[in-house]
Amino acid sequence: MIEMNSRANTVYPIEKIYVTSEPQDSQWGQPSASHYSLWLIGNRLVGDPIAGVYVPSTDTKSLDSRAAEDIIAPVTTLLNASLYLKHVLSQVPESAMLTVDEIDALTNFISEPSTSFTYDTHELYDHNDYA
Amino acid sequence: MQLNADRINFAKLDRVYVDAVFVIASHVPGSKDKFRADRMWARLIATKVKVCVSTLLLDELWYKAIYLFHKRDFAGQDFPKSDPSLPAKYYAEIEKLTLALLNLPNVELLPTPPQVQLFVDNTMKLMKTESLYPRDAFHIAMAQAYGIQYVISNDAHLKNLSLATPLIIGF
Repeated sequence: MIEMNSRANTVYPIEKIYVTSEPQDSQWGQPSASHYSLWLIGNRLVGDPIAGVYVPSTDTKSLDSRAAEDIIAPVTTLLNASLYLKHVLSQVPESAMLTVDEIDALTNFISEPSTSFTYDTHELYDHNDYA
Repeated sequence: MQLNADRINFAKLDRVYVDAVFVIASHVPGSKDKFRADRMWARLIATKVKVCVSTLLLDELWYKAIYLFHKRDFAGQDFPKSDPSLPAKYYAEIEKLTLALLNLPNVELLPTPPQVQLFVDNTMKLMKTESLYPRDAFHIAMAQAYGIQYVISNDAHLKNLSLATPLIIGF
């Protein structure tokens, strides 16, 4: 993608549409300053204020469905993991002694509960037999 | 005798040795003991108890994890333990599990005890006097060699040890 000034024409013969907040682009609008672009680095949610919106003109998927795949799903996973860990820590008398780094390490180590696959740990004690 | 974790003052513990199933119960989703294991991991980390593991634990951990991943992906099928493709197939998940464990702040990977002949002799003695299978005997001998007084495990074979130490804490 070639970088374009936000005040340049929004329709450019050889480039895809670049949406600005200029009046002629009002059909798209501009996200408010409170909107952020979010992504995951490991289990950490990071984000930057949205500075612009780029929609490939050949993309037939709606913004809503793109958001569901790219933003909402990973955020939901992260929130579930955080809520679960919060629940665990609420049952730990010493949890106030945990540092941020220790909570990060626990978040990486402890998985979310699964309902689709379950196992009894006692069966694992009999699985040491190599071929 | 197995000690009840709820009656343990973790702040008074120095070090514990843990078994592979305790690690798996927290990290591999789906364990019926998950919440109890997670709560104990959080208590161990919060109270700065040193959690000791060994290469023997990693051996068991990886094998049991491969078994579980296969069970998850091929429900109802027998585990093909002779299939040489399985370690590579599940390598990414094994790597993630191992890094997550070793990156926990209080986890320490113990080397084989320096007095290795004494360690082997004690392991053999435990097999005889405590009727332990080789791997369980190695784990207990490892804890003894490093003066670790507690082992976290739900292994039924360790419930009736007659030893003064280590004591077994269930999760």
